[in-house]
Amino acid sequence: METKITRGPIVNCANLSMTFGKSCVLDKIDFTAKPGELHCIIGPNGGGKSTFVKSLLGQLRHEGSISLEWDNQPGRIGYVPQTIEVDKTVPLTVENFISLCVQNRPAFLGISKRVKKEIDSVLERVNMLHKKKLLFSELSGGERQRVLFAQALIPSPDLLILDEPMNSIDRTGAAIFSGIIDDLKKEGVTVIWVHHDLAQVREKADVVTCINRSIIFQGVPRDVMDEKHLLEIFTAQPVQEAI
Amino acid sequence: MGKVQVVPLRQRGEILFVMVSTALILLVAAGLIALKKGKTDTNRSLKGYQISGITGLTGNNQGIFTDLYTAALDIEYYHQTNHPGWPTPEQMDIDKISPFVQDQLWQTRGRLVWREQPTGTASTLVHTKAYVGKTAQESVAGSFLVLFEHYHSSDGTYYLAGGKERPYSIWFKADNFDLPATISEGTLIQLGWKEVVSYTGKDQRKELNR
Repeated sequence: METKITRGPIVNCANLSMTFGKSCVLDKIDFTAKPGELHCIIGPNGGGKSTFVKSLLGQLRHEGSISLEWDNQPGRIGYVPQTIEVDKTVPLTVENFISLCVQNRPAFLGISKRVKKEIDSVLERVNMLHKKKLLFSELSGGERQRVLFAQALIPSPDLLILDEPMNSIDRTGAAIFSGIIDDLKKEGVTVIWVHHDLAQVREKADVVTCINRSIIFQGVPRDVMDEKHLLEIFTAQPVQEAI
Repeated sequence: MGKVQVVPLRQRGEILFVMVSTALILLVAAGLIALKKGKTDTNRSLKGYQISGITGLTGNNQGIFTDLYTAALDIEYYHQTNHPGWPTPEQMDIDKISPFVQDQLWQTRGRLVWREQPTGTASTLVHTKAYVGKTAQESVAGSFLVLFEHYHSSDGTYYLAGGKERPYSIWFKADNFDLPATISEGTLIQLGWKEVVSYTGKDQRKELNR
């Protein structure tokens, strides 16, 4: 019998709710993601996916409980944001940007020797090594996403959270992302991925959770991602009328 | 197995850091101001016959003093370029030089009547000149006297009396006044006139470095 490697934590949300003023953004979400598993979050725009991710990261005040159950000591968490804006006048190169994220020393004092090799290694992994001296603001949307992904790989994460990183990414970039995530899964990393490409979710995800304020459905993609469910989420009108 | 509960960030540390930094900056600033204030107390260095142009005069008197202080530079310049002549108060009224010009402001600031006053000490080597402005309304403003004094050596070199930094001094009397036959610092003091002292930035620095 094959023994599954577990490196990441079990992420557990129980009764997770959140309100902004009078508006309820998340309503009693129960959620579990396991190590070595790719758990995709889908849902319509404004359905609360990014809010859910931010509460997992402890950036927002929530009700209910969120816990990470580690095998041993708490490990590393990598996060890839949806997008990031950098002023064009800021002379920040690609490698400077990553060093900002991974070292304590201010980036203008140079890149720490300790992380220099790691930075080159992750940039090579996302095929951006040849552009490390370019200004971050000069990169295309897809290239920026690759760099954002690269920074989340230092140090090697045990839990990786991605918030729609595939927006504006090209096919090569998407293939690179996909390959790296497969590798991380094999290493037992817990991966939570907010995604909008339903075909890719159906193909790659181990578990999918659809959120539209509350959980619409949850389970193995081939079981739960049927046409009725998807129409229910992504159609503005009630399903009966739409059909 | 280690279970970690995700707790929302409260940013308490950051708030505390900002508050402590702010308090520290305020304390240092307050300390520096307190130290500096002690050193720049100009009243301490005033002599008995002097008053401060900043704190010793009422608003109207302060205005007249400031105008006179500026006009004195023009008068001195006139004298040097039209040697040995001095401008008359009438001339300065026509040239609109405050406080000699009798304009709307003059009407509201005590209507001082200016005249030239013989000093009793002028000679070819000692150049002195005095102008007196007598108030018409003591309740509004006092009277002023500006005394010019400089020397020429036999070869024509211009110099000031020992210890003087300016070729003129400005004197103030709040009420009725008498004028001595010979106008000098000593005789004015005897008759109760007060020398008005204005401290410039240069004066302040000197005071601090003393």
